Amino acid sequence: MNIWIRKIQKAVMLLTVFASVISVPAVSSAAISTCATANYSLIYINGIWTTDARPAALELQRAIGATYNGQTVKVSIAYNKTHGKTADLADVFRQKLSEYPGVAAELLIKALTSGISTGLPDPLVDFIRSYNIGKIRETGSVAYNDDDLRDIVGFIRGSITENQKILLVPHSQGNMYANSAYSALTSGADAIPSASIKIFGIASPASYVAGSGDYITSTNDLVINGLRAASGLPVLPANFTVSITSDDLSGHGITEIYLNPNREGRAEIIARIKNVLSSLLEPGGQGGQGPITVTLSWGAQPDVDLHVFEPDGTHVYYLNKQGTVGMLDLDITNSFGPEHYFTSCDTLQQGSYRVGVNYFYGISPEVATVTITTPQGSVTRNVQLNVALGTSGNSSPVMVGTVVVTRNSNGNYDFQII
Amino acid sequence: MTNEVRIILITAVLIIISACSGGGATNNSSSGAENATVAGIDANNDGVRDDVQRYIYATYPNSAKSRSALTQYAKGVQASFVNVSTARQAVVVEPQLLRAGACVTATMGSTSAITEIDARMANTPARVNARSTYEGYLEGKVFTIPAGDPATLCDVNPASLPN
Repeated sequence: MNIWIRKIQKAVMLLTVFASVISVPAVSSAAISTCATANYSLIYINGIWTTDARPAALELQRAIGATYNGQTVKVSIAYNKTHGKTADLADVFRQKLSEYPGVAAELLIKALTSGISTGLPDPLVDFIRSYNIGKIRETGSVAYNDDDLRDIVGFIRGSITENQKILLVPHSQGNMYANSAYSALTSGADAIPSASIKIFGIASPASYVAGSGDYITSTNDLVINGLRAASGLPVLPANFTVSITSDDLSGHGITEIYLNPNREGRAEIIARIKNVLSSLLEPGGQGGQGPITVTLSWGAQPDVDLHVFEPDGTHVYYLNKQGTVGMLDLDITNSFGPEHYFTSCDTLQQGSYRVGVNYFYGISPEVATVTITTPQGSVTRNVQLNVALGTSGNSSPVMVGTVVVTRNSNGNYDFQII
Repeated sequence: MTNEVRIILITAVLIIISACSGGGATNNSSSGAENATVAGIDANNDGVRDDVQRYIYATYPNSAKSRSALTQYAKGVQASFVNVSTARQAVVVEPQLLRAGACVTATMGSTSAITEIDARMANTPARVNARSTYEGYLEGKVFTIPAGDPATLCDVNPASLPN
């Protein structure tokens, strides 16, 4: 009975919301980084070292441009999980500084984690190359669990709900992470459309690209060549030649080699990435985009509800879908979700946006997954829900997170997810 | 105080610091005292280590835009080393770093200077450790690179700078 009352409530609300949707004002172009909607979501995934992810993602953004085929491209970084396998870096750095006192500290740290430039002693170059091969092997041997993949999977599910096409661009050991994320997203009852997500791998130590994606590995990549020789594993063969640079004698660095504007790889990579982008199909997501979006999904139980309390106290949920700032534009009552809230750009307010969930109807314990996305980052959290509370839970949902919006000294918005 | 006046004052302070340390304006190596702690020495208290600021000013003497963008980035890296001790703090700092990186890229048309700043910031074992700790907090998390006009990406609008 409860669920039928609920369905009627929702049908009535749908008409109200439809009227609201068509009256939402156009997104302002004044603050494009906050307000632009994205058609493509390109996600860079680093290898075992993290620092290079920033320049690599920025180079990808610069090379591909803000739009492709007239559609907006958003670039993000999903930071790889290394399971603590790189925790000895400071000790290795200290030891090698001591062994080679003539080597500048900045050259040594770059060599260890980015590119091995000319001018370093040969034994040190050999050590660093072996060290990196060993790290890729160690990290690659660990299977990623659901918790490792929670944020990237949640971010992509949210993007799919907002009808974005997804391209993962992993480098080095990040290819393993990308393959695992792809598998988690495209299998099971809540699988996303595989035609809307692809992988383009760079310098891959993996034996395959999930989803039959494309990849590029240089014949001069001494780290991948060394890994192939040392491990005996079926590492994907090299399929392109990028000249070595004085900034990286290993031939493996993402910015020093593969995305270097003065080497052959960059143009090839960008051309192939654009080919893959062209092949992606829209997933059909109906969720709106805005500075703050919240996506709720859950399992096979019928109904979990998303609740958002806006800065002025407005409670946005299935009985009040239109808030002062945003709206609940997707509301599902027959398992899995998604439910989806997004803010308008024009009405965005400073203050706290508190996000919660209520287990409305179901007979077994359920786990809800909530992804909160802002222009500055994305967080995904799981919530264990034991008993369905029906309407009695509407006034006191289980709180999952808060987005705090402030204006900085430049007059732009800052977003903090806590 | 206008941005231009602020930059002139910072430059003057740095020149005085360089002169007092006997290094001159082009001395961009770091001394023992400067490397004694993770935070190092930041005499003008602008959030950037003096040795890194000397490097920036010595390498880009004729580009106030490059100096300003790289200073913003170095400030972010310094914050990631000394102000972050939880994952929650890291997710506040990282968007600032990405915004600064986007400012550098928009201003200089390249990311190579970012790599150089990252390397110079992590120039002692303690600083490498600080960087590793910070990066550990980021693992598994997703951040979006900001896009848009340099005026929105940079703390100091490049258009307001002379060169």
